[in-house]
Amino acid sequence: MNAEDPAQPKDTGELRFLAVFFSLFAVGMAGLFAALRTGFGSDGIAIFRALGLALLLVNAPVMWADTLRRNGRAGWYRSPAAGGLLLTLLTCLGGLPVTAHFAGILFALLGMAAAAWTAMRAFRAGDVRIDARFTATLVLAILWCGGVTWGTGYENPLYLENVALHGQRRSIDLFFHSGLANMLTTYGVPSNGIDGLVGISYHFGSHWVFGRWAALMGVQVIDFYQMGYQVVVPAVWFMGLAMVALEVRRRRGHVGAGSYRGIALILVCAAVVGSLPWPPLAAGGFGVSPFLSESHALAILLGFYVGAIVLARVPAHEGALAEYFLACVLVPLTITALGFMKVSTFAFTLPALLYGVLRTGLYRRAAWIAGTLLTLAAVYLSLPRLLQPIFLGAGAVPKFALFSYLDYLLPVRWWPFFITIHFFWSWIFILVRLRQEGVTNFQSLRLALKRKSLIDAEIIVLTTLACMAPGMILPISMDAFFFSDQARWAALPLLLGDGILLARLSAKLRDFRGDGYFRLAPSRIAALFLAGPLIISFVITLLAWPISMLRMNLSTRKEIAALTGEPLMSVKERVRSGRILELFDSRMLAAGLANAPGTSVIQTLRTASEISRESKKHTAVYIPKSIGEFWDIYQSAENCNWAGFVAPALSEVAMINGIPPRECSVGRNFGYGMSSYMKGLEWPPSVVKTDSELCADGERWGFNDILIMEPVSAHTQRRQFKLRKLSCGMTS
Amino acid sequence: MERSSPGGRSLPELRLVTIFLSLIVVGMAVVYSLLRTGFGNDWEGIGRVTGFALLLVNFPLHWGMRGRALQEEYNWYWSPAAGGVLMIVLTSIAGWMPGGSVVGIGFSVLGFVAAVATFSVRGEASTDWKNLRFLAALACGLAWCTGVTWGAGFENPLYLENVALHGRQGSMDQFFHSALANMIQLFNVPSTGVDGVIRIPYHFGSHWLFARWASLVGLPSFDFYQVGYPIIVVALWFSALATMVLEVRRFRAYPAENAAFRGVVVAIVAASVIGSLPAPVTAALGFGIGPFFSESYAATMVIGFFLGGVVFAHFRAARQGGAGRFRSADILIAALVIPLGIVVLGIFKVSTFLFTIPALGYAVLRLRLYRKWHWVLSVILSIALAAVIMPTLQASTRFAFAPFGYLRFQMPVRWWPYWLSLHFFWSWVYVMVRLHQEKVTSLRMLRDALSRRSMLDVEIITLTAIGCTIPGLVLPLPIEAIYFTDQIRWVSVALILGDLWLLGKLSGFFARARSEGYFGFSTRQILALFVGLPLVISFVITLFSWPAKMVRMNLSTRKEISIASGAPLISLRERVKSGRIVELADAEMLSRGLANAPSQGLIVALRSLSQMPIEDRRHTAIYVPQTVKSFWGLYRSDYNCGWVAFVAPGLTGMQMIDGFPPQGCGSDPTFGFGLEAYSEAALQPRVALRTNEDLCERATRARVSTVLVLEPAAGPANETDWPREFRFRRLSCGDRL
Repeated sequence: MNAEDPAQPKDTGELRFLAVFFSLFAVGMAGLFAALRTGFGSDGIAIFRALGLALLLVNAPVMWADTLRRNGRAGWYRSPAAGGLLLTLLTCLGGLPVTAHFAGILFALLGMAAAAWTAMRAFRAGDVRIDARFTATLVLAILWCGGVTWGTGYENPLYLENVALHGQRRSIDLFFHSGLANMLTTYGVPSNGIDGLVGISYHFGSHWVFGRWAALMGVQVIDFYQMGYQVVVPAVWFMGLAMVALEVRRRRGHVGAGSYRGIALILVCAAVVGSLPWPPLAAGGFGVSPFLSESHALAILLGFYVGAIVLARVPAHEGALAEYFLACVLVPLTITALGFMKVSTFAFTLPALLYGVLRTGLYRRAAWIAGTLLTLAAVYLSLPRLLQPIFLGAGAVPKFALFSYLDYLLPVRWWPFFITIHFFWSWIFILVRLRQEGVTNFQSLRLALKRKSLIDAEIIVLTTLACMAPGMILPISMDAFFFSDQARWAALPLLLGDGILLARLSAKLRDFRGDGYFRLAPSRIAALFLAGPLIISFVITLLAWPISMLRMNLSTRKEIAALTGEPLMSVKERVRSGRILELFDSRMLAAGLANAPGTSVIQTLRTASEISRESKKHTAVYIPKSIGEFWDIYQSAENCNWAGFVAPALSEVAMINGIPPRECSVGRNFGYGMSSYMKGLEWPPSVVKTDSELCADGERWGFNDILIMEPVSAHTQRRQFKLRKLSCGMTS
Repeated sequence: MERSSPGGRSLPELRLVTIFLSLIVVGMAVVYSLLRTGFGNDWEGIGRVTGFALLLVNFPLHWGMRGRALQEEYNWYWSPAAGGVLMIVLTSIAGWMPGGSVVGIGFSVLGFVAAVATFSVRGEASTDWKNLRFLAALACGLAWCTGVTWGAGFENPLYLENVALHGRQGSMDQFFHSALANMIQLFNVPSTGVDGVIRIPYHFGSHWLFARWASLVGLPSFDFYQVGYPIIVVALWFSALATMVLEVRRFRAYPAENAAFRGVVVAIVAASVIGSLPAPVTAALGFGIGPFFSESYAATMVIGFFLGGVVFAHFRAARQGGAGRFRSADILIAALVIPLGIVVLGIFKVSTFLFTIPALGYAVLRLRLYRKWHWVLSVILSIALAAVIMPTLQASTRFAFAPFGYLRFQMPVRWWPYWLSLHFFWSWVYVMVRLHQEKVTSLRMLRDALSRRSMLDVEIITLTAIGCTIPGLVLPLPIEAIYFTDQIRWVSVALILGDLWLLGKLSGFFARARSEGYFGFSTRQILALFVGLPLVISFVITLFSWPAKMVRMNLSTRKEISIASGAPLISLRERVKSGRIVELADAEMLSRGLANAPSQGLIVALRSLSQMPIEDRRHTAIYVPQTVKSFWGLYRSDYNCGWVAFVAPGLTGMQMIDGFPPQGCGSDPTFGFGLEAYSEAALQPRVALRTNEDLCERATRARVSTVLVLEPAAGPANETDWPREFRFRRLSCGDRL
């Protein structure tokens, strides 16, 4: 609580505490990244800029609210979420090519200053006490988040090293995402860039934002996905969650009743980390945190901001202008922006908006009628850019696929438990609200509905059903998760914002602790037999990811060590014989990596990114099908289709004729925008194109220069490559 | 719950259970014959098995009713449980004696008479079975019982047809068990008979009992496992559980009969036996395929329930009968029934020692029965007999420490934290209920309750649960560890079902829930919707998955045979659509197809020997040269080739000579199934085709006068690597004996 300044709103103390915690968390993530890359070299300046950006996005919204909400002044634009949203927009603008370099440094410095300012105020006001519990929570949070982002096989501090060694077996998404972000940055076109600049229908909002943030950090997008995303997004995401929860508390008048940090931490851990093994874990969500999908995490973060802003709205205190701005500008813009981040958000935001406007009587205000119509129009117009053509009726009408998500996710015998587990947090929230409103039968429900005291629960029910529907009827298997998972993140902050519930749970826990954990009342024995396993399982789940991260890291190092001609030794043997430190030797790692099959291809493509931004606009890269080192880079027959994504991702320019070889016949028109290349086109033959053919192809897209990958020497075991520049009409 | 004296004389609840189980017996017989439609049914055998099962299921009821009619219900030996023990003893003795088959007909006829008598008893609740709910429960019970026995890949009405088609089906244990039962039947020696009749260390009790019962119903042991075991033991298991529950209720001086709690009883039995959680949770809870997966284990539980019922009946008598009368009974129970019962249970399943002996010892200590000489004798006798008999039941193996061996086998590591809660779920429920009943909420109260000895049942459950957990956690016993721990589940379930206070509470809860309506907005209703409903749906799926699997397996075998008969390949779905599914039951087509099955000739040849008189079989052995690849390659799996030899003694009912697999068989022939006993012979160099001299020398050692040598039948069709027809060459070695 803020003991120093009574003019401060009571929840800013809580926010300052969280800001300090997540600032240290971001520092820890940056440190962990650097540690995981020991021996491979880290770009210290980029890490500094990433950390600065994270600190800015974590701390500046708190400063914003601290300053603007003095003396209890209300208004949605004074909320920390409004500050967060504004800052996100500013950093994106700052990341535009013209300003990126200087803005990156400026934002980093501002971030450091904001963190210092918040920390100073927090310590002075007694909001934060760094004790053993705080430190343990922080360390575990860093370990878990590091594990869950760098230990699941998607992002990896040694991502490109792994690709060089054996292709990327787990996830190929990052090349696609990086390619898309690069095409947006270089040409301003949402394309995967594998054969010119064919536009694809995809929610490219997160790619645009990450492209800007990567520019601020001075790194390639593929590197941002390995480092910047983890340092910035999780910390800011949790702050966003806290902002919604605190706005809910403010709105309900539960601020100041207590902080309930312990119980809130338990709820957040249970929802984010999970404590059930597979398959209920899968039924409960990914089981690998909300950070698995970069676009989903960013969409949820922005959703938190928008939610918190809407909750912070106090109609009686706001002028007509502010109301019009909120209803007719901010809401349509943010809902559409959310859709561009993740198209699935429309399934949540639109029903929530329409129902909210109807039930709260906002439809009586012209501002909200106009705002709703504007939103619907914006969504309608943006859909063709976001949805794959198949869902818009082009080519084939979407097939009806009953329970496709369940089919993908769970063995049939677990299906009956899906709805209960998957929407667990929604049901808990609804249950709590029904109890609070004394609803025990249809009559009391009718009365509660009539007096509009259950609008939050109504919206959660409606959106839960709306988000459940796509996975139940459309053939979207895994993607259905991005619809349904939103319900969890809507319900959780509402629960965390319920001071009465938290107070009750806190009291129960305190009583439990007060009486000792082991007593013989049946309820306690039941708790022991249920809670005991849940806690053990939670701890296992929590620590499984950092262990996986460490194991993967050491395994890559071991693989590289084997390439230097060293005898093959298991990590266990190395630990026993004290030779584990050799795996961190930079000379050995460099020598080994030079022998990796894909190193030369990767390095050659990365050199293309070094040409000037202006030149890139008129340049494309061509890789003949004869270069097996590139086309077989994934070393997996089922992924051969996506090898083309590697070039735009690493070179930052589009490819010419990057459609996979004819021999690769895996799912040609499926996903990643590939269907855009199928319209009326024959699959191109796998021939090496002549210079004149390449120039003709390049001319279609306005490319003057074609960079052609060629082997330096044809007869060595590990071929080296170079890029030959073909300036159309003459070679150099 | 208001406590009162036992109810009326007709034992209406037990009667209702008996009617239910009698109908299950008849239903299972019908399903069995339906599953064999087109393959031919041994109607006499099925009829005799049905009658025999009806006798075993109905006798305890009539025995108990007779005791009541004689007003002797206070004597333990007039309890239905004692009736159950008596009938098992009587039938096994009868099956041992010459002419058992004829006596068996009498038993079967008696069984039908007893069942008719049960149906025609007049009195309280005599028409309670004539309602829709009963019939629905019967249909579900029948579907599950048949599915879980004939659909789980162990027993199968078309077992041999599957073997003929593609080697073994599901489990190969059946040949081992049949071989063991056959050797016991012929020589009274527990042996697999793969190279003479060498005693193997194994808990052979169930094989001994099934051999006796097979003889009574006139079936070869192998067929008994497919038809006799499912029809008899499944119903008898529930009957034995019901008699024990009855005695627990009487012991607690509850009214033994209470129709109001039937719904809750059915729910608890269904939840504990069938289960309602999917894998891997169901594995954590136990087998997930009912207690009938292991024939010896199910038979052990039957005897255990009956004996448990007898012990409870005896202690009830201590409360209600005269002291002098009680003393002689006490001596009989303590010094004879309990030690014998413990040893018999151990012979049936050696793992029971870990439950029975600690339970007895602890009860004697806590109840201070050690002041009575006969209880001291009881403990000493039990331990001594168990120690003496142990080496014959279990091969002595070196101790190997294998932490969490059972858990590793059963479930992924991430599920381990839940194992203890789930596996002993029923025990913890019982312990919680009892703590609640005794108002124990703190350690001090627990101490008080312990000092007044009011929670002996909880103490024994907890102690034995811990004791029985240990083997699976420290020894390399993957699947076998369940036979230690699972016992506790059934004891706990019986005790829960015997607790009318709890049943009353649960009934009240459900009654309130029903009157309130299942769907509403109270916390309970919402929880019921989100937790109860998935559990119910999952239960229904589990219940019907077994019969569905059974039908699918049956149709799949028929489809395979139809292809072998030359019929075109048509999927089952297409057959159903086009109405051609009936063709799969066509006897002519099935017979033609089966004749083309790769191993049908071998099966027919081996089966033909089982018809030989028992005396002849005692003096005859079979020899299968290693050149006969269709026998040694029967399982078509390198991993299992070491155990092919069980097929010969299993099907023919005769011992084998040199039944070791050919050189190069991948599996370790000295591991498991009692083959350790033959390790010396097994390690000798293999001989592909033994000479007559050699065979006779071995026959002499095996004390047989005739050796039947399996050879391909004459004709060019059999001059291949995989001959289809066989004959036996008779080699007489009589003068050597």
